[in-house]
Amino acid sequence: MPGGIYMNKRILSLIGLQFLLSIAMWFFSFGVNFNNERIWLLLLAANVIVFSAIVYILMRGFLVSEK
Amino acid sequence: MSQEKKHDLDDLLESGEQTEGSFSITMKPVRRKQLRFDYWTGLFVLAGIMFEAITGPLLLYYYQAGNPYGSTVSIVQTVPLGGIILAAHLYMAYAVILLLFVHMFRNYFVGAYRGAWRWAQWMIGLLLFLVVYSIAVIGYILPEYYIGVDAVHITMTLIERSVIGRVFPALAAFLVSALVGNATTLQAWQHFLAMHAILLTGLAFVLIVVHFFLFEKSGIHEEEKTVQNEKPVPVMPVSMLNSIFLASAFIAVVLIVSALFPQGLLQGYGVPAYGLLPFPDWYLMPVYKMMDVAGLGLSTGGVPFLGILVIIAFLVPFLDRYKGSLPLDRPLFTAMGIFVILFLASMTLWGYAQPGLSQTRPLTLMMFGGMVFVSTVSVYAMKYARRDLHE
Repeated sequence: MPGGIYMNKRILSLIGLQFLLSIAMWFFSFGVNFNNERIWLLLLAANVIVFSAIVYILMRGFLVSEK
Repeated sequence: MSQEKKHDLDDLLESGEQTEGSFSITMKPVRRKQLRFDYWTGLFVLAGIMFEAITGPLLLYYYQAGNPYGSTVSIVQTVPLGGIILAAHLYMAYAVILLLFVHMFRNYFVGAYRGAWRWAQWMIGLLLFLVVYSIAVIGYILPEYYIGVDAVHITMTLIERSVIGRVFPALAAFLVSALVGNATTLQAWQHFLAMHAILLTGLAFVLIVVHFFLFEKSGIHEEEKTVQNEKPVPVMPVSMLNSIFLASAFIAVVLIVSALFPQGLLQGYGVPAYGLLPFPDWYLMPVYKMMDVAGLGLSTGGVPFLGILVIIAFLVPFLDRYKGSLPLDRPLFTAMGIFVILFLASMTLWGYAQPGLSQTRPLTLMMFGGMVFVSTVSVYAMKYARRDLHE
């Protein structure tokens, strides 16, 4: 279905992944020291990548519906 | 399928009228083909600057101008997440400078400075380049690392002994006092902080707004024939989502780099750093190496050479009188662009290979002559090769 861009399974699962990553970030924020700061930053980067993937899927969806 | 259904913004753009409650500025819609990421180099720069504007104030919470090195150490070692915020701020600054070069050369080689308002956009962009460069240099002075303090000394020497200092000594004295005040740590670093965080940043912000407004006025630079008949996609939501996607993917890459290669503390200025050879950051290396070149040194030739380069860059929209807009249709300007890239690259490599070693005049002449020869001959050779191919 063209324009079927709204809450599809892929976006929902990516939001779930963001939720898990955020919980992991919360977990790693206890007693931050220089070693797990890097893990925390990598988790943040992963979170941002997942966010950009969601935005990309939305953008492609709107692009299809524009055709 | 709704072929006829138009987007709301299309009506607004076509009629040119304001509907009630709307602003007269609307974002230009883009074509589907223009969603390629190499059309959006300016977006990456903007995203990087916004990232800096978020992480900078967080660092300002703990930075003390009266104790620059000590407070930097405490940010890295004791403030939670301070080290990674500082590292991300630093790496994003590097990325912004690299992307500034990419953005500038990309628009130079495709001739994006030509057009009704594009010349103004190009000149404001160059001004922005200089301002952002200054912000970056002052940023590496702020932690009071020995390279930063050396940069202050070099800048003061540069002001006092260059053309400015020799012709207008009072102006030079004013500039030096504006830079470092009475030269105590507190006052000098308070000045640097004010310039880095407020004065130059505010100026950059104003220039960015004008630059962006001019971009919206002219739209994406493109060979007209390639996209003339294509239906535009609306800014909201497609182009906007595309921009958010590109910006966040770029920020994620920089975050990963700063997590994998965290910047350790450098040696602070003072007795333990005595005798260390100061290496400037990579983006200052060409300027630094220019000072070693005999006959083109700091006080006589280096500053005028770079100054002339900048003035020519400002005047490029008026100097370029070629008809075509492809790089090989404007061979002289393409050759000049390649010369500047060769100049920056070779001075950087040379600077790392032989820092502080003075060069003889014949070697300098051979090197610059070689760069001029290579850039000019290669571009004109490609131009005539292409012509022969088409005949």
